[in-house]
Amino acid sequence: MLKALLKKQFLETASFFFLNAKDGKRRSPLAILGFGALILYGFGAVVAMFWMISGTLCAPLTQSGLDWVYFAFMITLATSLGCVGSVFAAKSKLFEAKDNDFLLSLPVPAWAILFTRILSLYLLTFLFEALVLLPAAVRYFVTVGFSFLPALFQLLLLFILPLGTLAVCSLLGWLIAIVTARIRSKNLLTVLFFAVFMVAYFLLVGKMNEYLGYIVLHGEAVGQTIKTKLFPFWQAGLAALGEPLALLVSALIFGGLFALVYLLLAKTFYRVVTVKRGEKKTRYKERKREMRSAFSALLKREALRFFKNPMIALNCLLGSVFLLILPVIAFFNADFFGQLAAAGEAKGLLGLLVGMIVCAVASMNFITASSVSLEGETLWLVRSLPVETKTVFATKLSLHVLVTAVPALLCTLLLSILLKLGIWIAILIHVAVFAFVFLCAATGLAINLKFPNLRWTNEVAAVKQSVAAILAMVAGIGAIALLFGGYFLFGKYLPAEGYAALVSGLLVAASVLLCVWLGKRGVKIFENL
Amino acid sequence: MLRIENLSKSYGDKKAVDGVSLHIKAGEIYGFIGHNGAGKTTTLKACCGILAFEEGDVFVDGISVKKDPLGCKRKIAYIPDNPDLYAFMTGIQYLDFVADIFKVSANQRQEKIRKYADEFELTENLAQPIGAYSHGMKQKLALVSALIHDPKLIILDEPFVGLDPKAAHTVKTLMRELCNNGAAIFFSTHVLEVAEKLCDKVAIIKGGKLVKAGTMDEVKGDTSLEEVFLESAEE
Repeated sequence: MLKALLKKQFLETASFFFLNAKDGKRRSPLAILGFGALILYGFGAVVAMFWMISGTLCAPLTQSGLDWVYFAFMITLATSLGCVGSVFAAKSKLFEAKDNDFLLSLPVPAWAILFTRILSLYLLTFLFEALVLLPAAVRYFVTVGFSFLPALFQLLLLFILPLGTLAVCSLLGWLIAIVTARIRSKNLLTVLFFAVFMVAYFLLVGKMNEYLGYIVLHGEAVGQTIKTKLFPFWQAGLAALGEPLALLVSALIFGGLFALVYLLLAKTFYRVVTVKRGEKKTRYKERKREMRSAFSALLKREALRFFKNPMIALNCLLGSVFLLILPVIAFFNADFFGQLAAAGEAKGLLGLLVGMIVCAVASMNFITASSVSLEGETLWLVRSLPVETKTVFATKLSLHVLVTAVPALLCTLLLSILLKLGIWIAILIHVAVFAFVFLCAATGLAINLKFPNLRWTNEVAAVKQSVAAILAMVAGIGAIALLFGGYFLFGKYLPAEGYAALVSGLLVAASVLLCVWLGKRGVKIFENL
Repeated sequence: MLRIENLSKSYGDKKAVDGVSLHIKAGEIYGFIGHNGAGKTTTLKACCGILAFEEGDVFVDGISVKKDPLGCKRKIAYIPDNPDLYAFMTGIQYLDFVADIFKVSANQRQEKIRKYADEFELTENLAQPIGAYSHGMKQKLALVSALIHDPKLIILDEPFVGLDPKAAHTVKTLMRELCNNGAAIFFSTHVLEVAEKLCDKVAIIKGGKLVKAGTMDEVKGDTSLEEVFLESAEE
């Protein structure tokens, strides 16, 4: 029985990699290779980041004899990353799987269903933590030289540590599942949790350099804090150096915590997945109906799709949120910006920098990159109605441009005023920002047409587990890198205004070309989905 | 109203529909029966312009689906076997959306919504999100939306699946009423008793090819439609 469940779970997990989300058929070997390369690229970027972080800490701490502090900190980072990777999946994977009713109708005990699900979550957490712990271990041995026992213990820790992370994430998922099953504003609570988590995450990332510097300078004090307040991480840090007793204590703490949580979850599993409180029923009251054009009906459809589900809105519109926050941050750091504004001859360069920052933040919106996937099983509707595919595309692009360009231009305007930019550079960066937003919208749509995921069971998955969104993000980063690189290559031949005009022209030209492609090839692809 | 001429559609090497020709006149209810995978849904989808096909053509009220798909879609209402509707809209938002696309005036849509939503006992649920609807309620909403713009041709794939007996009876009554008013209905079904009682004409499809088509009497003769269907399935 357990073997059959594990096999089902394995097939479900593997389907993400081997099956095409568009038609449910097996991916071609080339597509598997491409998909694998994309995932490896993502993992590689994370490993590279933690390789650099470990490089900042390893030598100074080991030279001060604080090797365990180095590991304790890296383990803390690994646990944090493991939490980021698992905490949002915990509730849906453990308690809201689509096959709940089916599995509960079979003669299978709840603990077995939970075990197979928690195992797949364990693998996910393991993967995330390995992305930190492996570069940390390699960096350590490169710095101090290789020794067998620490290497063996670090390998064992790699398997032990995710148990603790998993216990915490599963417990959080369990709590959210219990609370949301009893309240009506499920989405609101999930969004609140997501927002708090994201704010904490960005604060941590934003202050990372500061923290690293502090640890290097005050390693002893940090070590003392870890000893007194983060006992499990102290023990894990010692275990990583090859101390058997510390390894045993770590295994007991992390493994024990996991066992306790697993027992609690298994005992309450049936009750949690079967408790549901119905939605509040709103009675229909007839009122005068209004007629609108097909375009605005389709635009409203797109807007409802993105705004009705706050999780989708948050995932796709994070850029807009940051664009609104950016001028506020600038306002509260007026002194710093005042100094920048006083930098006379560098004003043009400053303008370009503002434009690039706004573009970089705006590229965090993935509306069009998810808009085709979100049609999902309802695609038949828009295909059977008398509307041109080009009109459907226009509404998708319009929504992206509306919700991105408005805050982007507002942000650019406020920053231009705050930094006292010259009129010409200010106008030109506004044009460039708008052209960039449009190009991002068109690129996202084109990418989603090529990589749609129409077979999702949960619409949030169509946004979060989407190749199109990853590619759109990579394309956005690539475009920003090109803008930066271009300035360093050609900036000396052109004034800042000239470069901004050139960039605007290129962005408009690229947008026009992409629109031509969307109007011809894109329409055909959409009509054959 | 609907003329299918030598329609063929393949999926890779497999020919899903092979040289199908049918003619459905205004005022007719035309049943389309066949076992699973016989090519019914493919034919229906090709008729409403959501599936490209290699050979033949389909004409809706004289307009070619290949040449003017939008012109055809303006005259058609289509409901698939499992109508996945926009879960993020309420019932009334969905009906407004469809009415806007078909440019139905405010007064006309109000009147239609009142009439058909009442007939399907859906009115008080129209403010609910579609995501909270049962399968049967979605089916009813899809039917109301299909009738909101007075289509000349209604294409239905398994319209009775998921409907309660009262709603199924309402659908049958409405189908006859619409055809009496000059519309044509082309629908697939596995419920042969319903097809036998309701249809003016019927076609049996097997392996993508039409094996029998004509008036109900021509197709079944003195036997039942079920016997004819089973015989043709064994041939």
